[in-house]
Amino acid sequence: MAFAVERGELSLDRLFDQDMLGDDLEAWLAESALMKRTFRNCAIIAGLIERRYPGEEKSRRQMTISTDLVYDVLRKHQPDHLLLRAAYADAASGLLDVRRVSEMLARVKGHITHNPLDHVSPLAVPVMLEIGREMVYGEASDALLAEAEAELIKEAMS
Amino acid sequence: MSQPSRAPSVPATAAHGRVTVAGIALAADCLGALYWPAEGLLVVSDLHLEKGSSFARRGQLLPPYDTTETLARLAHLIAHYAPRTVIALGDNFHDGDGPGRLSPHGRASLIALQRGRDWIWIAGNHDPDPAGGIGGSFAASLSIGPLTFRHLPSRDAPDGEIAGHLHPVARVAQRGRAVSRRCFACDGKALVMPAFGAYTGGLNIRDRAFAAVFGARKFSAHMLGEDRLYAFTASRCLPD
Repeated sequence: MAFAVERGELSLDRLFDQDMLGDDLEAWLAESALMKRTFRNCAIIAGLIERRYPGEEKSRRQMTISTDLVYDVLRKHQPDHLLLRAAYADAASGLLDVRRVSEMLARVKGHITHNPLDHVSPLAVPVMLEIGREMVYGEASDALLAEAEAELIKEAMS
Repeated sequence: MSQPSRAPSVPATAAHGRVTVAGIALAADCLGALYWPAEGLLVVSDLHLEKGSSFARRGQLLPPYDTTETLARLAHLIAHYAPRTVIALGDNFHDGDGPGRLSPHGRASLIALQRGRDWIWIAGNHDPDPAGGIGGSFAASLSIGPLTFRHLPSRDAPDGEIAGHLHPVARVAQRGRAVSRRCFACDGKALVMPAFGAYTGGLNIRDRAFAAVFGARKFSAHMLGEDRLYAFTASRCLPD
């Protein structure tokens, strides 16, 4: 990405434009691990499912229900369901303050300087720690499976 | 941001991979069904219809759309493969009273799917008895050529056995992340189907229950992807 910015192929102003906070953000958020976690939390608060504690006897296949499955089905059949609206409101303001992000983007517009560094900046450490922690959904996880399968085939043939 | 967007519906094509059981080539669909082209046979397992309403009866008010969703996915498969015969491989309803709780719309959808084809309900542990008002015919198991269809997989499953019940899920790690997917568990001789129902949970294929089915034989997990299957030897998959 750094090379693309230096060569002028990637415009940081376009990348950090406020219009990202519209449909793109909604589409990403709807499929994200963040959203499903938030929905699960709302479902627990609403009493729809019980909170599971570590050390609890391993639940049998049919005694529990995955809130991810409920989320997917609800999105399709009743997208204005109260729990979905509550989860959405939580995700948008609680963990992802859209208003503040929007204000920041407006503030920095046209003032972004790209500085390639030799080492990881201390300011980047929190983000670096997040890598590998978020569960991957959707297309990306299929890509991971394809990669894993290809690696095992290569291993088997060598 | 006002409200969540509606989820995308079932894709336009039926993506599938191939598996072989007792020498028979089968299409393994990415939605979790098997299709036997030579026989025009479509097989789905563990639909657990009316699981939502079953939980609701016990005070856990799950949104009651699972039957609608499950039947919609099944309708998509039937529209694509136009099978002569459909086998529902047991645990078709979450409990014996499930058929009675079908909504008029659900019942009508089901009857419409059965029109012009044979429909066989295999008995499951959740729904061991034949039920009224849901069409089709009932059987404990069914043998067609070298393949035998039953709900519970046998210990050291014999050649040609296709069973359900266990809801296989495989977990694979790549780049420090884990991906879990429903899968077909198969060793070329016998196969365990993934669960088809919208609200069904899964059991990791590293669980003892699968070792009991395949014995000392190596088996593979054919994991369901968006538009293809991904195959991994079971021993290379992660436990929970």
